[in-house]
Amino acid sequence: MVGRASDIPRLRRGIRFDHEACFGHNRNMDEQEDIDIAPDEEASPAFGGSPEAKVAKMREEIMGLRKEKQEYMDGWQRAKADYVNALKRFDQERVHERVRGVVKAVELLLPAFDSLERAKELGEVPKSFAGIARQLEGAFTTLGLTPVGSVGEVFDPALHEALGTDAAESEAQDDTVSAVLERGWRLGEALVRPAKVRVAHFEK
Amino acid sequence: MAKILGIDLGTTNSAMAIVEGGEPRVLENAEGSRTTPSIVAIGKSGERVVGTLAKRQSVTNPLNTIYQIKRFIGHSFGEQAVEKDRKAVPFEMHKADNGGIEVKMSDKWYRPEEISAMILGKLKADAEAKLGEKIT
Repeated sequence: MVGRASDIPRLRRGIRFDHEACFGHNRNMDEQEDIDIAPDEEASPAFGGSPEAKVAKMREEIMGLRKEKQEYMDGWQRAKADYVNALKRFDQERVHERVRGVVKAVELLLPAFDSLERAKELGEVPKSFAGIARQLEGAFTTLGLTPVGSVGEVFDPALHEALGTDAAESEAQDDTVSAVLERGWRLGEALVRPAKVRVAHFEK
Repeated sequence: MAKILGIDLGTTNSAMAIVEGGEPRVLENAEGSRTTPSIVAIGKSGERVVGTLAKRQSVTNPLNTIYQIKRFIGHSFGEQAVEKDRKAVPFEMHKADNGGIEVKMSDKWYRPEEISAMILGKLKADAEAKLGEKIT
């Protein structure tokens, strides 16, 4: 405690130094202010109060300020535009995420549904189970799901995934779906799963 | 100031990301996935498809579906590594005038860099559609 008294000057020096460091940090601002004041006090005796020199100096200063103002303006406008864009994107993303949530849930249910469908084709499903399959299909329809992929339609990689090719008998059949191995599904515009198909290929 | 799009052009898949609020964010492509197969194809009707769509039609159109193109960038035709890789892909290849490689896609020859540019172009277009602004 006693020893501390001798530390005071050093401490003060420390504070003064900090002060300088602080000004150094805002050097841009400070210099601007210094220039503001300096011409009035110093320029008058030095240039003999020449108004031209003063005007030139101030003009230069104004140019500098304008440039700085423009920089801030640009930065602010950019930030504002970014904000507006972000809001828009949040809106879009909210819709998108909702669709994605449905897609994800449906994706998990589809294999079970496919199995039921396949069993139905083989005639192995008791009536009660066929009813359950219908219920599931009804639920999918309510969600807005539509099946994609049927034999004979033109192969479209946006909807179909080709797993193999079959020889076609005529040129008209070329590049059309020859067999649907697994139905695909879409939800509105979004494709949940492409239809897995075989494609007819005509050898010329 | 426009956003900067970072693209990882991979041999098999490519991805893209932007920095948002100081954090990188991977962008999804038009098909909604975070990676895009590095595949380019010209379909039977003559349209060019890139990415997932090119992959889905690859079985029907192996000669005009170009993949693994990054392996061939910067190599000369006839190099040992090229000869080995060449045997593993179904599309045609020949020696370019400058000694490099060219691949055939629907009767036209392309340099590997051109194929890569098509992949980059698709990613850029998807990013622009997603962000709603031009990337220059």
